[in-house]
Order: sequence, then C-alpha cells, then structure tokens
Amino acid sequence: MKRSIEPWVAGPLDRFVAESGARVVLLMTSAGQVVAQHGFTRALDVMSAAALGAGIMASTSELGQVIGGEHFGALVHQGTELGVYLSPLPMPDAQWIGLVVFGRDTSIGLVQLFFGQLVSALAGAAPVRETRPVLAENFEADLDASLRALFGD
Amino acid sequence: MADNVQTLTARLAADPTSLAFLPLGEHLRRVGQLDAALAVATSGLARYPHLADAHDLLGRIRSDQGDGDAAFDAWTTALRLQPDHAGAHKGLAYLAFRNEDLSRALRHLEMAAHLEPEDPSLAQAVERTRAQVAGRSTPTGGAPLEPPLDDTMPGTILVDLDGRRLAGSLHTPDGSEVSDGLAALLAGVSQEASRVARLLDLGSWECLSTEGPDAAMHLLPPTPDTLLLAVGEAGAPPGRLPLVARRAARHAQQWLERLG
Amino acid sequence: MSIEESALAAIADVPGVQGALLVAVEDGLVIAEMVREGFDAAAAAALSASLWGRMRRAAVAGGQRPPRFLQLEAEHGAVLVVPVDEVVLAVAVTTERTHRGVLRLRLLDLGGKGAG
Repeated sequence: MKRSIEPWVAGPLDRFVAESGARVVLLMTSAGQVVAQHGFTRALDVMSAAALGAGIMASTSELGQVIGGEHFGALVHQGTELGVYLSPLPMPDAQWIGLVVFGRDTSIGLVQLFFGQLVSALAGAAPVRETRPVLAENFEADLDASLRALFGD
Repeated sequence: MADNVQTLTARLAADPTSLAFLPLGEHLRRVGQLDAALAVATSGLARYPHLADAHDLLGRIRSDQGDGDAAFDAWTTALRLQPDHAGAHKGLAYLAFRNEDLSRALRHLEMAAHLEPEDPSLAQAVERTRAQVAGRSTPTGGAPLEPPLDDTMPGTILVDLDGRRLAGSLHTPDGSEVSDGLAALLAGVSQEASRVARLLDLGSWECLSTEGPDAAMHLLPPTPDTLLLAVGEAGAPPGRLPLVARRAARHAQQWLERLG
Repeated sequence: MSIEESALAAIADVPGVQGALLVAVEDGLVIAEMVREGFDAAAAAALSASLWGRMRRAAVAGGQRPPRFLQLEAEHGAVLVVPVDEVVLAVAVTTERTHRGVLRLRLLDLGGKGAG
C-alpha cells in the first residue's frame, strides 16, 4: 500500500521501492509530518514511526552538536530479519527524513544506492514555490485530512 | 591427461610420421585449445591427406571454431575417402541440424547409428529427429516440440522471462530434476544482470557465467524474451562452455522463430 | 601498503580495470577500494553483491555448491566477482575489452588466499 500527500513524490517513491526492494518506506519532514509512505497498513503505525524517526534524527543531530558540531548522516540498524535505514533527505526548500525498512532479500548497499537516486529525483521533481510547510502550519487541524490522503477513508 | 599430452607430443616429436597427432589434436580440441588443435591436425593431414580420421578431426575443430563451411568440406572429404566413417556422418548430421535440414540430418544420423549400433545416444538422436521430421511434415507445419539443445553436456534449459521453462532439462548428479526450481530464479538473475550493466554504464548485458566446485554455468538471452542456461562440468576449460551455449542459443533462436 | 591494498592493486593493475573492490557479501558495502576517478564504487559494490547473491541462489537451486567465480559480460565491459571468504567478495569492473583471462586468474588467486 502506497500513498503520498504530494503527488510529485509518488513516481520517485515507486521507483525507489521497486529498485531497492524496500518493504516499508516513510518520507517525513524534520518535524515528523508525513509526506508519503509505502508498506504501512495502519495509520497509527505511520504516525508513531514518523514521530520516532524524527525524534531519532533530532537526537542524533543534538548529539553531534554536543560532541563538537559533527553532522551525522544516515543511521542503520541491522536486525536478524529486518534492517532500518534512517537518513536525512535534503530538499531544495526543506530538510526531510527518509525511513526505510528492508529485509534479507535486499541489502543496505542497494538501499543506500537507490536512496541517493531518490534524493536526486525528488529534488528534481519538487515544484518551485514559496516557502511553506509540506502540510499546513496547523498540524493538528490537518492531521485527519493527511491520514485520509495516506490511507483513504 | 597432461601426462598424455606430454607423451603424445613426445611421440610426435620423436616420430613425425606417428598417428599420435589424432588423439593429441582431439584432446586439444576438447580442452578448447582450438588453434593448437588446428595446427596439429593440419600438420598431420599434410602427412596423411588420405586418412579419413584426420579429416574428421579437422571437421570437429572447424565446427568448434564456428566455421561451418570448412567443417562441411572436411567431413565430406572424410566420407569420400571412407564412406562408412561414423564420425563424419555425425558431424554432417550436426551441420544439417544447425541448418534446419532435418531430413538430411536424419539420413546421416541413421547411417551413423547403423555403423555404431552400440551407441545408445545415436539411437536416441535418430528417434528424436524422426519425431521432429514427422512433426514438421504435419499439415499444421508446427515446430518440433524441443529445440535441438546440446545434449553432450550435463544440461541446458530455455526459459521465458517469467522464469517458466520452455525446453530442456537439468538434473543433479544423483538424478534429481532441478529444472523448474532453477528456471524460476533465472528471470531475477537476468533482471539483476541487466540492472548491473545499465547502472555501471556498461550497456546491455550479453552473458553471465559462473564456475563452481560442482559445475560451470553460462546464461545468455537468445532472444529478448528468453534465457538459455547451459550447465557444464566443473573444471572444464572456461572458454568451452560459452561456445557450446552460444551454439545452443542459435538453435533456440531458430526453434523459437519456427514456433512463431 | 596494507594486505587489502596490495591484493586490490594486483587486480587494479590489469589494463582496462576501472575499479577493484572488496565488498561485504551481506551488506553490499565497500570494505576497500582501488578505483579510477569518477568510478562509483558504492554502486558497483551494492550491485555486484546483489548479482552474486542471486546467482548463488540459482546455483544452490540447481543442486550445486556456491560458485567460486562469476563474470558478467556486457556491451561495454564486464564485472568479475570471486568470494574471498564467506563474508567478503573481490570485484573487478572493466569498461574495456581487457584481458579477461589475466583478470580471472588474479581474482581466483585472491579467492584462493581467502579460502586458504
């Protein structure tokens, strides 16, 4: 199951999923607002994963500051059956985050390779527009609408 | 066999009139040293221009080199010198098969089987070719059920891009059939080969080969919609299996064209 | 020069070789590399490890033990892979019609060292 709030994200995301063999993908803003997802079946899981992913990235960034201003890149957690790849996703007018869950049928090398291509594709596909959040500023008010867009009614 | 090569070479050096050039040339051909085999055969022929076996050897070498015309000349010369030369009949049957002249192939195979009744593979080949000739002469003019994939190796299979087997079969040494399980994985292998070549700017992929402790494999796409996997014995000269696979791929192409 | 570097140098020295790599089998990540400028080592590592994995599964499905050498021939070059041991692959990528026989032997030599 794949849904995206921004329609221009769908094509690059589809290609990434097909090439990398990723099982679950979540693209979000650095504040944890969901932009697109693939593979989740429950809205609650999406929102939890987005919040946790954004929190991990924020914590890591803070840790980098504490130890001397180091900017960390992607994080990888490799389990027995599944791995998680969490990476900054620089966009022209914002910093997004990508969270990818992959199995043993692919590899972190392939995920990284095609994530790099996803970053380029999204940067190229992003419409030029005035600076504004991906979702409306009032996140709470738009949450229901976002969930409907991501999962349907 | 390395010892044999040394012995044969020594014998030939000691006595240039020796017929040791026949087994030496054949060995060199089998291990894929075709240039060396040709040199041995032609020097032997210079001494024995009327020896059918020498022309038969030359035919096999030329055939392996992909020079069908020269192979044809060599085998017809062998038959002119010795009309009951089974090797030359087999060679000409093979060339006829390759040119889709099944009737001629059958004639030579029948003659070879008559001359070598103890060879069961010849009897099988006659039976298979008869069936194909019969199939071709049916009113519908249908293609034979199987392409003439090379049956001198452990196995060859032809599959479509969904990993479904179209022809051929593969067995493990203990006789277990593994064709369909392997075929199912080949589509993914070819997709990956294509992706690797494309993303590394190497153009389109042409073939994929492996060498292992149990077998060697050579995968190539005879047509854009099919894959052919040839499996050869472990330790065989690495240049030989690709030659055999390409030949099988040509047969598969012809078969697929007739199949429409 | 480290052991990895000297091993890769023997491969990278073959004329026409664009990149020589040691790659983690499971991850498809580069362990060590000796590549020409502009060569994408990460892509070569990830893709060749994936191809190796697929062909390895095919061999096992065919009742064979895993291969000890793989060669992908393409229009403008080739990828050659040998397992150094159970967790590391040695990979060579060439974009020219280089001497495959020499490259094959040097890679197999590297594989033999790992196995031994």
